Amino acid sequence: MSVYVLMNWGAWALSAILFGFVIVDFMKTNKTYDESFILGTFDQDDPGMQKHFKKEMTL
Amino acid sequence: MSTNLDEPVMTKTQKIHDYSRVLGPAHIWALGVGIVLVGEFMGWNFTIAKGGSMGSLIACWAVGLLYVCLVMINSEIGCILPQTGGQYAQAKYILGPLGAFNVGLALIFEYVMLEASDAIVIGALMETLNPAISPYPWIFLGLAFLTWLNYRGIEATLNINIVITGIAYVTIFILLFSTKFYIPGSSLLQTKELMSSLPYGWIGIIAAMQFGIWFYLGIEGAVQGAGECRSPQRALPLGMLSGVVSLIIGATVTWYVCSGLVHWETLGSSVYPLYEAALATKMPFVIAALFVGTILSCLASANGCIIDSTRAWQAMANDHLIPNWFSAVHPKYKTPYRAIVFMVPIAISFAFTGLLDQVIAFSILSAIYDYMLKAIMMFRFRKMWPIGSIKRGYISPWHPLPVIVLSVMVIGVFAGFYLGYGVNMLCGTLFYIAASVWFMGHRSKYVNLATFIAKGLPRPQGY
Repeated sequence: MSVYVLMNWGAWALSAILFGFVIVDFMKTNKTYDESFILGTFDQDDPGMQKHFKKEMTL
Repeated sequence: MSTNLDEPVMTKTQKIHDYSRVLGPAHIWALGVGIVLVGEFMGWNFTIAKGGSMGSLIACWAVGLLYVCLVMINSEIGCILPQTGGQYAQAKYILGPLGAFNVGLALIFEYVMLEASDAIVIGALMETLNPAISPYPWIFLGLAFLTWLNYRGIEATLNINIVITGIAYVTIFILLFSTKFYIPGSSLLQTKELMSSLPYGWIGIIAAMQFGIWFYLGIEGAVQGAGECRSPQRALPLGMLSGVVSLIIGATVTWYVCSGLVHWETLGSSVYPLYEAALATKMPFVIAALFVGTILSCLASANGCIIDSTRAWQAMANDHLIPNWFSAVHPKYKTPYRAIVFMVPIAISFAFTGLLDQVIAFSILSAIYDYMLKAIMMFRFRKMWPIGSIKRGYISPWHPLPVIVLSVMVIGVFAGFYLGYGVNMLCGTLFYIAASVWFMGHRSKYVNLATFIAKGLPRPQGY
């Protein structure tokens, strides 16, 4: 196997590590994220908004 | 849970959506020039294919004028409305929800396509090292590295951008001085032999203007960082105007050195024109410098594009123009982490097509739609808040001349686009029309007009 093929594999592996960090942290953060902070930007008196809110937050 | 937008909820919401205010003029310069500098390393040379060497130079300067006007307009509006989201945030005050939606969408596609084209060039450049090297893992690695960097915070990201943009800019001058252009007898430049004048006449200049945009495309994106500036009134005009001057100098040097080293027909179809010019010098140091310079310019550009597109996407989500879920800011890194992750597959899918000119064309088309709306915005802005009615950090001089010049140039670029990529133009236009129909028919009812525009500005005249 040539050094260039190894470089290709190295690039794939490094990409996987970097994306892995992002995805793991993304899922962890989403799990603990307080969505009520975002909820605050809705006009919650509006029934349409309340209905819509469920869809927004369960995307 | 409170049932209205009372004070405590707003405070909490604002707090969670707040970014760090850490940026100065140098960061704005790096954000603007960093995005655009890659235009000197690739893409601009398609102007030569369309209009010949002289046509390219005329297009470069003419489009430079367009950007001077654009930056003047952007600085004036951006100083008064220094919100993250840049032109999108400005559009929502001046054009309303539909106009803001279109400006936001155009900005996002402009930057995501630019990011994808940067990744294509990184892959193509790596391929030049050896045929066994595949471009795809390097495209993937480039995007993975920048996504990771952006995910972890803006200050470190932009500090890195200052350094790599500076190095990439210097490599252009390394190439210039390596040609010994200042010693007529031993200069490597063969401008008379390799250049063409106007092979397709004046129509070629019009056609070249479309890709002439590539010399500067994205400089206006520096305004996206307005919400994260310590003093937007100082940082925006200083950073952006010095950025345009740097780019006009860089573009002229690039054109001069490339046209003197590479035959115009070869140059017109190259993926990496500056590196091609470096190869023509046959100097290992210069070749290595331009290889590094091209990679760094692509990284700096893609980096800035991720910053800009995700801020615009987050700002649109914040206003419910798209699902509000995307508006979340990372509690630790203070970055729009959901928007960052969402943009990754879009950039990767376009980058993996490898169709550089098509991806660039869609980026440019989105940009000129945005500029067209910008001209309308400036007229409305001066009408809504005339001079004296509001404190301005910067006043664009000779109004309405910059707006008129901008409009005329945008029409010229549209004409050039029609000549070269008529079908793309039609498809792009249909896409924006379809998106607008979707917005008006489905999404607009979720926009809460009471919170759409932040309080603090005086009521516009006539409202």
